[in-house]
Amino acid sequence: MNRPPLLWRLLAYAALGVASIIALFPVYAVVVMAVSRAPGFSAVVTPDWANLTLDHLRTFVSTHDAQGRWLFGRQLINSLIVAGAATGVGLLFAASAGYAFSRFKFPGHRLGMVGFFVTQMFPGTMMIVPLYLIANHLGLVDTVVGLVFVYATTSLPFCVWTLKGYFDTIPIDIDEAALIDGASRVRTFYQVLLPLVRPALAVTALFSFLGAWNEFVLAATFLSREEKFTLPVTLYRHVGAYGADWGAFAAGSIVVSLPVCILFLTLQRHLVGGLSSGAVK
Amino acid sequence: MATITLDKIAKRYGDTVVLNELSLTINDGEFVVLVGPSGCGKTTLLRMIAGLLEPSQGSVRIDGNDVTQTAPGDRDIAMVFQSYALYPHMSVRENIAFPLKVRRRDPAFIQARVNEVAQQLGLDPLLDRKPAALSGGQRQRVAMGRAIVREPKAFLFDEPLSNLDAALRGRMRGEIAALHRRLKATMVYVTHDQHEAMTLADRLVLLNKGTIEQMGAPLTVYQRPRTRFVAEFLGSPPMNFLAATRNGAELFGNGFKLTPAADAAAQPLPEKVWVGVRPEALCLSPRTHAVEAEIDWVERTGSDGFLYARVGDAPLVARLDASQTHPLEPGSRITLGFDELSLFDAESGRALGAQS
Amino acid sequence: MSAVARGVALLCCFAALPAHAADSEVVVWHSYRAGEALALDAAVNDFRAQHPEIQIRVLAVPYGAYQQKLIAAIPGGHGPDLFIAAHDQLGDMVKRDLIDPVPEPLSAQQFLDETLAPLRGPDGKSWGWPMAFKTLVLFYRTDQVPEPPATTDALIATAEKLTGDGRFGLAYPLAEFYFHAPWFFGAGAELLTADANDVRFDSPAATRSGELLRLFAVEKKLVPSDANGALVTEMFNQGKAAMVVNGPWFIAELRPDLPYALTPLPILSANGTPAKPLSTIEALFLAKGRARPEVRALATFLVSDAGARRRAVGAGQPVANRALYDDPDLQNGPLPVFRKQLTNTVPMPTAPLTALVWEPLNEALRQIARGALSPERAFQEAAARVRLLNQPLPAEANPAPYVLVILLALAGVLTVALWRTPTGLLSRLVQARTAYAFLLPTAIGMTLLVGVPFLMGLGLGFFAFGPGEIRFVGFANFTSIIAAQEYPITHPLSFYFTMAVTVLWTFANVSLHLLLGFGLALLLTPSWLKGRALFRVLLILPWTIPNYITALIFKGLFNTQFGAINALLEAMGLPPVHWFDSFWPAFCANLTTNVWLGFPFMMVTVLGALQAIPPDLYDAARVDGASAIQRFFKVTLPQVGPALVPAVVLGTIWTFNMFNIVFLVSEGQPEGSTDILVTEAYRWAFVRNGRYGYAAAYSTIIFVILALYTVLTRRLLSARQGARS
Ligand SMILES: Nc1ncnc2c1ncn2[C@@H]1O[C@H](COP(=O)(O)OP(=O)(O)OP(=O)(O)O)[C@@H](O)[C@H]1O
Ligand SMILES: [Mg+2]
Repeated sequence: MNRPPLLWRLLAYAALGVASIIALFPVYAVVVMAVSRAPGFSAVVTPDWANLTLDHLRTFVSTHDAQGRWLFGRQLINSLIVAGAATGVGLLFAASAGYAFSRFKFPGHRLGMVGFFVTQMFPGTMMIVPLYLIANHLGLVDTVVGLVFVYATTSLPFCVWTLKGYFDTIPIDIDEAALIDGASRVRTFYQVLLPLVRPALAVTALFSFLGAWNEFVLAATFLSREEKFTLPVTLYRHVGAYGADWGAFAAGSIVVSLPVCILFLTLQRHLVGGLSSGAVK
Repeated sequence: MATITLDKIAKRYGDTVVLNELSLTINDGEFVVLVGPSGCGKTTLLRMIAGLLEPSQGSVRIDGNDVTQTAPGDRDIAMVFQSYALYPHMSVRENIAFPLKVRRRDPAFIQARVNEVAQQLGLDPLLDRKPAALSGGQRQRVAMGRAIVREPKAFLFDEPLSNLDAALRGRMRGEIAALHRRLKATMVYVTHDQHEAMTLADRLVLLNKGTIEQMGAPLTVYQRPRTRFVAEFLGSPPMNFLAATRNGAELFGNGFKLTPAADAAAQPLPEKVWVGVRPEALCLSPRTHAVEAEIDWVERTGSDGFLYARVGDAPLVARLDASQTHPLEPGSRITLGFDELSLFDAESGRALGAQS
Repeated sequence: MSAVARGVALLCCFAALPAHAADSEVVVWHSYRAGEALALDAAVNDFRAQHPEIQIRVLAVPYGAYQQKLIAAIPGGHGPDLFIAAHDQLGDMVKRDLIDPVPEPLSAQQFLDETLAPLRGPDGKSWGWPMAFKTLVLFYRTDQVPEPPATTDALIATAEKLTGDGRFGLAYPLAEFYFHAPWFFGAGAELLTADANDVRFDSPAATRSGELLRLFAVEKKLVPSDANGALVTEMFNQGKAAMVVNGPWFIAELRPDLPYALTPLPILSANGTPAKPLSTIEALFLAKGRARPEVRALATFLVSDAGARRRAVGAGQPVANRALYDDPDLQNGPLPVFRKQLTNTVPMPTAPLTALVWEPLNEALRQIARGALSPERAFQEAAARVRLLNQPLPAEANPAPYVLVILLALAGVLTVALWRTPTGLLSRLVQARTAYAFLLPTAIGMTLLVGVPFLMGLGLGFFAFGPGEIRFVGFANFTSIIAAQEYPITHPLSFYFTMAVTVLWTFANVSLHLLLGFGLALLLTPSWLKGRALFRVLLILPWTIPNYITALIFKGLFNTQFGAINALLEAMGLPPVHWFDSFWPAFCANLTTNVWLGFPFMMVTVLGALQAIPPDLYDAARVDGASAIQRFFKVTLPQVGPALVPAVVLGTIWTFNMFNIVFLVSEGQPEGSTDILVTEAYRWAFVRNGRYGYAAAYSTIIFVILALYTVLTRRLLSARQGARS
């Protein structure tokens, strides 16, 4: 493999290095605020390294409610359940819809694909109250199930588009081979095609998980029991009407972001990777 | 085993007619090869037999049962794709086992069957590999394995060997022939390769623009093409065509004159005809008929020698023994003799009876 | 049922919303945090101990979602029985039909008059149980200020001595009217006319208060110019601010060992009247139709002296109960100071018009503090702005023609669709049944949870929501937005200006996302690169952090005095930038934040597209003698380009509607000039008097713009592709 001259390579590393530092800086700021005793943003500029504390972190993690239940633990589990289920449901829906859009021609095909785009255009903040009313009619308010479905549908447009695009890259021969081998459409879908779109599934899964995990306005609106809250709701409680507890907020931010970061780290290969094309070519 | 009957099937996309009321019966155990120029509808036909496409009209019957609305998987037909369409995420073993698994066969049976097929095809050492780790020929064999493992009533092949090199293609051709002899299954085989068509087919079906141009035993079709199109399509290099005008019982062309055999006279010849001569019918020694030609160039392939020449303006190819071509030099004029010729109506392209 | 709910019900022909299933549990909502939340819990526990038979559930809702949650949940039947809110929301809550008045009369012996009065309705009924009040006093560092100033002159003198060298004598959020209110009302100015139908701050008294602000901020520079709540806290804790105007919540933010004291605000030297801050009464409100005995019992207990004591002792809350101020335990605490100050306060007004005054007033203060406008002009402009915002509800329109047009349009679309549909639609539908089966879950989910709310949102734009009424107004909301008569187009508050900013915002963001994403993706691809995985992880990181966290963090980083970014600039020898004082810096601050959080998505998309290019193509180009640059333009770009189209279109749509960043980072400053259409819509719905219909019309316009954009890009793209082939 021919390599560009050393100077160019050094420049490339330098550019990546600078970009990474910029990408990391706010993260660093959060960490410093989370472990500083002096509250607030001046800690970022003049960190007091000699006087660090884990109190903020401990406070955030060890919240209990009046009945002595470990709220953080419950909320963490809620968050995991809600985000996980929303991802699962969303992915299942999106994959089957993406498959249909990729493999079939049917009346409403174009309309459907455009429709997904259209829904992204109406400002989300204005849909909350109507959404709440609908969900209320369906008996979905104040239930984890409701939140799961709401999150799943919000991520659907992106997921369907991504998956449809990926299904398109898989030759139709594969489907047909499976059909001739006697597999039903459903079986062809989940046993033959789904494994082949794994990279796209990983991307869309990350996307839906991220959306569901980080969201707080809907969660705070839909859920009305503290032990059912998701973590971002609790996190946002540290920003109040009269000032905010930046130390706790920063510590909470770390705790809330950490699982997603880990998920990204483990799945990032799939984010861009494709399955070795092998026999598909 | 199965008899496949296509009854006046047609396929249209909007105004485009791909297949036009085509009827064809493929007998039990028969090896039918479909040939025809690109885009003539071979794949379409095959996919309709498989059930992957629904005909716009007409019906498909297998053993007398109308299967036009039957799902592909329920037709008990196997298909080998040009791309092989192996499942990339499954090992060779899983690929071959898939049709049986789908049918919920007993795992022990599946294992035995897969091993048996793998052995037949020489795939045993590769069973745990993924398709990506196989060579082209090996993939082809896996595709075959997946087709034969469930012993279907019929096999469909869509240019299964076109991605292989010549030697491998030759070997696989032999294997397919052997397979057919062994299984005695009905087979429909699409190919562009003359060799495959001629050697494998019990019956050759030549498609053109969505209709059957001619069908029959390969040699018959080769020797008695019913149209100029068929004559031109089969044979490599293709048949030579020389324009001629009839004058009484004699045909005059640019640089030649010939008198067709008397039996042709039973049928009055039209004014203008094409005289078709197969390259291998031509020789350097005097025969019944003769043409004057100027040599353009000569190709020698070891056993054969191909002589490219011109009769008047018309190009002409002759296939000779390589040894015979040595004295020949481009630019020189020679006389080529031949016994067999075909005559075609210049207007309709229809054959005017075999000549000798 | 709230007005919104009724409108929606009307629109969608929905049956009446289900009534709340009566259960024995008493539900209390609040948005307290830290000490106040704990104290409330303690009080509730006391009640539990007395009434073990009553189930009580207390829910702390994040402040940022509190109002929306109340608005949505109470009419939906999932709301609380009791909730705590500030009394200034009373008007809106009554208008939205969220609350009932307190069933029994409240005792003037038990509660301070100042806390009872603001909760009283015109009919003399009380609309809530007073719990506590919030008002401003003067905090001072006893190590720096030996004698608290009794007059503003003394305050200035003391502050001058302590100002300089990065320290300030006085600190408070200059540009928030709440903190300016003491001088404003002290100077004798008034917010509204007596009938509360118009504003009155274009008055000499208001100008006088503005002069004082000028003195503080511009002439003597005693007060840091861009202090916000968090900053003031930091400065006071670090000794960088000697005196601070602040409220009871401030105490919890102070270091435990800090030498400080409180005193009532000084007397204005100019006219000899004491400064008069606003007072806000925190009250317990009774949700509509929930006046069950156990609910009343709990409410009565929470506001009883015993309940109040919990809050006063536990959280230092200036409670509404008279008895507590005689309590010996509390004599030496801060509470008596607040009590003393309360006598010199102006209750936060509750007239509907009030909701409209804050934005313009804050803007006026910002202008004065920057020295950009004279106090007189600034207040005049603010008044003019309020009058513009306070337009009467549009007249009721006859819905019949609209319904007719909709029906006709529907019929037309249907006929055209049927006419254009190729024959055999039915058989095609039947043929496609497998496809529909695969689509079914998505279709149901999307229709119910996205499609219907979307249609409702569209429909709401045709209604107006007034006090206790909704009316169909046809296109009035739209015409009033589009006509935009209020301001010349170039004015930052004009609809067209906002739209231009939105377009610029979107374009700048998407371009930068693309540029950075593409550049970094290209840097990440070469095979000689070491540490690719690490770089990739680091660069994807911004994507993983919730955008409200990012926004709040960047807001802090961009702070003029304490932000890391200005510190960095100073370290490089550059002057600090006042990020939110003028348009471009504020816009750039928003932009930086959004670029930071948005480029990874584009980078990953490009990386994926790059990987999909067969290496043969590069080899072929190389063999053909193409240079690296030619290879980029002739191979990479044409191959990657089409793959990026959906990402760019989606990115555009998302950025266009990127609410959190603008709302949290620049907050629209200065003068609302960095606001984009979505934040503007939000302000109409939730900040300015609940003009929900107007906000919905805004959203519809946003939608139309984006739809046009999408159609246009599709046209352009397909035209280009057509030309190519
Ligand atoms: N979905 C379709 N819509 C319109 N026309 C089609 C469609 N599918 C195939 N065709 C047309 O039908 C004709 C026959 O296609 P088919 O694939 O059967 O050809 P073929 O004989 O297999 O050709 P080849 O030898 O190149 O594989 C072609 O002209 C093709 O353009
Ligand atoms: Mg074909």
